[in-house]
Amino acid sequence: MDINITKEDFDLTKEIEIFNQSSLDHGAISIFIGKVRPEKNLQSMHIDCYPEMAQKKIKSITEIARSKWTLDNIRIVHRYGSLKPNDNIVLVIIGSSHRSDSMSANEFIMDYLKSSAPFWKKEIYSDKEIWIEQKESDLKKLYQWEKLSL
Amino acid sequence: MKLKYFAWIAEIIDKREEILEIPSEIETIGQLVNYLSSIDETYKKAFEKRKNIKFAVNQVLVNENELISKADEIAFFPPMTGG
Repeated sequence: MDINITKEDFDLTKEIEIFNQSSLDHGAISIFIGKVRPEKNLQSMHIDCYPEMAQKKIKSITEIARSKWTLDNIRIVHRYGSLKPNDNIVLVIIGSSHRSDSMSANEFIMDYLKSSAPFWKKEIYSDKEIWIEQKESDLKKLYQWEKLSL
Repeated sequence: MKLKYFAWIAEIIDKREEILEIPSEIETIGQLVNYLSSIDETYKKAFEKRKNIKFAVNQVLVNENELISKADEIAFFPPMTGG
């Protein structure tokens, strides 16, 4: 498992190459890329991060995912710093023997990354700057996962 | 004690981190927030919306009742918005 918290952009082809070097023992690979949505008049997005805590938190999220599904390798890249509209923010690559495991685990990891990993987004417009607030709908997704675990 | 601030809390306090001598009677995160708010208006402003602030001790999310010690790294931040 690799977790990379970085200011640098990522290249999907290279990331998959690295992923496949770690293991080729999967019948399915699920890939999610999150990007900066090009909202009207958005100039840039600043992502603040607590890197040491993010490493620990993402590791614990992946361990929970492994306890729920049969997964092979996991690679996660999460960027921080100053990003432009359409820039990549996050990459989650998961391998598994069967597609349902890696696809479900990918959604689970993304839901937890959004609301429980220590990153904070600020949208920068020409006339204002807005720290994005946590959405109730994102928290509901976590409650739904927790309900499924009961 | 090492204190770290993130997002709009860091902007209000105008610092990312600092090391402060904290009185020995301060035993919990909640008491630390009250103490900081009492010594400077900037902290008071930053911690005004207390319900919107989360805390971590040594990179682990905790609540206001968590016990703290001088060697700890305490972080203050708003609810997370990653992904």
